[in-house]
Amino acid sequence: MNQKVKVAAGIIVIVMALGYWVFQGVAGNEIYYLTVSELPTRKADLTDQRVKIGGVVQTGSIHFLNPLNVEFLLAQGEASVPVKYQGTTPDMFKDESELIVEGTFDGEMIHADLLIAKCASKYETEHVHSDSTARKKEA
Amino acid sequence: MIQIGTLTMQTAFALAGLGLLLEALGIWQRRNDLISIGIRAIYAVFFLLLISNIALVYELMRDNFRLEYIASYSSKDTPPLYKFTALWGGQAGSLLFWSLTLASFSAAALWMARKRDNTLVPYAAAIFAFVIFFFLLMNNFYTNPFELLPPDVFVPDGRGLNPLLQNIGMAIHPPLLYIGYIGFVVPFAFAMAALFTGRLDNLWLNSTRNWTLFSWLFLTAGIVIGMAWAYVELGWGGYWGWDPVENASLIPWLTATAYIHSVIIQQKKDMFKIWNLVLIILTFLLTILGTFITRSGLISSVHAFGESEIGYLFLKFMGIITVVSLAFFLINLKKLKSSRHLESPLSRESSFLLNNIILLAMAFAVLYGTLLPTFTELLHGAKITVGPPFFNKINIPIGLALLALMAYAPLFAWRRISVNGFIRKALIPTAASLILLLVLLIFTEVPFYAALTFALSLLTFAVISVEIGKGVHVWMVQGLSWTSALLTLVGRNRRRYGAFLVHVGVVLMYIGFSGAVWNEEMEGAVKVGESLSVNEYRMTFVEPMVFNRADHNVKSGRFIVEKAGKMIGTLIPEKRFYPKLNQYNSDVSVITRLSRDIYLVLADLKGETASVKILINPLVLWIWIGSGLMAIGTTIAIWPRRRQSGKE
Repeated sequence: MNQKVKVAAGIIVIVMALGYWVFQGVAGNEIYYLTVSELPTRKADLTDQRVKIGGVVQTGSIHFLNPLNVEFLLAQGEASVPVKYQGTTPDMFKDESELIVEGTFDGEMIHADLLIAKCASKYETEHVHSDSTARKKEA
Repeated sequence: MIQIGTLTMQTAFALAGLGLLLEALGIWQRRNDLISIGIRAIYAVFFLLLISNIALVYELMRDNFRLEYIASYSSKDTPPLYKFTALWGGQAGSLLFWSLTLASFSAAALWMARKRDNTLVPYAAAIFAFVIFFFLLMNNFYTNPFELLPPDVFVPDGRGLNPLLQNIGMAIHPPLLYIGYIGFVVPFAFAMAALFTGRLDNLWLNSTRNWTLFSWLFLTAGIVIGMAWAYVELGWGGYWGWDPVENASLIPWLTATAYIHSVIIQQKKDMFKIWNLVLIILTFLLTILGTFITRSGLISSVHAFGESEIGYLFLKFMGIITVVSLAFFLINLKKLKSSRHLESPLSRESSFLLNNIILLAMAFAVLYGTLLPTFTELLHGAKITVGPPFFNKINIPIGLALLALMAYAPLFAWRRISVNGFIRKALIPTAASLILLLVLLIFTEVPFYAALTFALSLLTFAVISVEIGKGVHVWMVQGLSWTSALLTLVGRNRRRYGAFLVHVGVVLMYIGFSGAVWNEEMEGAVKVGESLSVNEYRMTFVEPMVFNRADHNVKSGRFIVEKAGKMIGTLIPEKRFYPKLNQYNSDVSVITRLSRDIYLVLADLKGETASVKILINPLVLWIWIGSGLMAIGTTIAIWPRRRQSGKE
């Protein structure tokens, strides 16, 4: 019996330690995931935070400063937010493409370091495709 | 063929329902005739689905764009191989193929068990019929690949398969993964049968052991080929991004890996009985969750299929399985008591238990991180996600703990090993790896985690070599040459030595992963004749190239790579444009060496100026080598015994 108790106690300690390790790992790594239209309402608490924003690339807004530097508007309905991005753009990055942008929000603009493109057209909503690019080195 | 495809799919659905009914009735009324008719119904389902899949492939091959599925995923100038693989290129087709694979495994498992008087079979057949019924429900009523476009819509040519999927890796990755996922239905069905009948001895385990290893092998291969595909096709220079869909395949792999270890304890020691049932049911549920995550768009992921109503069906299906299995656990709780208990914390049993706890912790960490946006949205209304930094931070230390355990694993004996005995066996390998660790940390700039990975790798190799060396020595004393001694040793216990080889493969993969700490990347624009330098590598843009292929236009360039003034290779990356799809696709170019990959992406080419991204990725090749060894090791472990003894 004594042995059983010891084993059980050992297992519980290990499991709790691992559980703690997993839960504490979230702290400092959270990224708020919102849509473009939610952004203005939470401007105050998101400024200078890392955010992940989903939207659609506004038609005609893509402006390449050079092939590795681009600015565009990420839109959802009426709302939109300017995005600045440095690096190679994903293959599916174009007008009207659904895009998830990850980066820092300075209150006005998103300084993105990761663009994840989804497909634009209605036909393709069921495709398996993915495209991601330019993950920062630590990623 | 459209009618044939539809009709066979519908009949299969009806027969799966009938099979379930007959099994239930046969079990209830103890009517063997009903049971065997029910099993035949499952065989019939397999043949019908085979015809249905052939019908879809036939229509794909002859470019029948009246079918919405074919118009969306194939086109006239799609190469024949990819017309065929378009079968699993989209949701409807891939679920039909999924059903076929499921039915073929169910039929094969039942066929192999037909001669044995196995009381579990009728129950397992009922489970098979139930699972097939669920998937065919989706094929027939929710996502039908034989659906026609409206009659007024005329499509002269299809959209074609996404160029990202026109890659040999993507051609074989889904079927491998499906086989891996679906294979677990067999141990699951027999486990559930054991719960239903209360026959909780090792019968269900022994009936399914090879199925489990076989599925695990395919799941592993599917994941690794998916990594390789991401690496060469997605063009961001990595093989793993902790994307929800990647995680969805890793989580069941982790629980399945725990399971293939812990079943050994039940077979040898009659312990861990509840645990094994939990693990296999959990693994099966996680494979369904994996499909669900991929198909339902539950988590906004780079490759999640569009949001659709089949998500709720999946949830209901998983709910039913969870409730039913929990109920039967409670009913059987008394019978599930193990006849023995752990005798010592220093024993093989304990090491396997620890292995299971660690693997489950990893599975939990990945699941938690993957579902966090869903949880936080439900609880707080705001989605919070975690990215690669979270997954790496959590899993690297746990993974290294697992590596350490794996290194010492061969030293643990059954029941107990004395502390002194353990120290005696472990001393020299431990000392050697500690010395390596200290040397790396003091005299080199190798980061801590990488140094620890190398030290633990050395430890694993050392322990395994000593074990094998001892075994070979025993046979050499009997007068065998060292080669035949080695073959005899492995032949006598292929499961053990196959597992050693798998472990060596795992170690090599760890080494490959650790290379990421030295990854370097650089982006820039170069004119013809100009160079970019990363580290000691110098890359010169020699000539731009622009030309057309059948269904796409190509911008490309030739780059020469030199190391310390010596040329080591040429890189020719391409940026392709598919006018029909209005889509770009980058084809990266890689020089692969044991020490590092040199990886080049062409972002754009304007006149004589190329914008490129260059990455130096050390040790990546070891990941692929390691996974190859894992596959060979697993094959050694499951190779049928008779064939082997015939050779000896």
